[in-house]
Amino acid sequence: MKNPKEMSPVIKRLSRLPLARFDFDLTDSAAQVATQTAGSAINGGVHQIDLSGLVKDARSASTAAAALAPTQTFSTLSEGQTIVGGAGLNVIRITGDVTLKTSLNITGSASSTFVFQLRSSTADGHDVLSLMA
Amino acid sequence: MTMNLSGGVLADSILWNLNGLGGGVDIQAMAEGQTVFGTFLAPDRDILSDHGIVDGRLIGGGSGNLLNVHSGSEITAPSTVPDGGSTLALLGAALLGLTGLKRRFAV
Repeated sequence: MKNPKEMSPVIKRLSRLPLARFDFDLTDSAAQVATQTAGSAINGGVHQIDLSGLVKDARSASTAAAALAPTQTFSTLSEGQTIVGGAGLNVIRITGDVTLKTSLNITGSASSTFVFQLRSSTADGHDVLSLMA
Repeated sequence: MTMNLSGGVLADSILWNLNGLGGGVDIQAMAEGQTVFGTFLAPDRDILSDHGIVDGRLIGGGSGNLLNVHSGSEITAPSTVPDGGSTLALLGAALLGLTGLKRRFAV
């Protein structure tokens, strides 16, 4: 891709993917995509494939994880909080929104599995989980 | 913001699950050396990574929502965890399909 205009059909194709859409910032990426040098080649291409099975798997996994009984419940997570889990499955239910700007500590063992269930009723368009500086 | 794992906890053993419709995930403005860990699974919600450094996977953007990976983001799939028993059965089944999704969607 040598210039942003050539990105347009690519973005259109990508936007047809069933689960995800790539949002390119062309003002950022233009310089990078324009750096192809003489003699070099761009291989590959854009492939449109049926991902409905994977989409179904993702939704099924999410539904199954959401149905697990919690082992710990919090209204939110706090800055610097330590979540301590035991061996095996740890289901951490969080009923409200989470915004963290410094740190979160998760401790357990190599056999620990943590499933964080974010159950806030915050509507689409706002963030349930914000991890930022 | 950074996450600290201790005691041997693995990134591949952490699942952040946001089921159904609702508010999304925002990971941004992380500095050098900061990392968040785990699979962020929000099949029907927005996920935004803008200068996000993730040792894990981002899976989302369905139902008309967006999976946005902006400049400066680093999304690295963690090493696969051997399935040590029934407690990992759920996560293992989930990640089987999700690994494929990551390869297609995560940049």
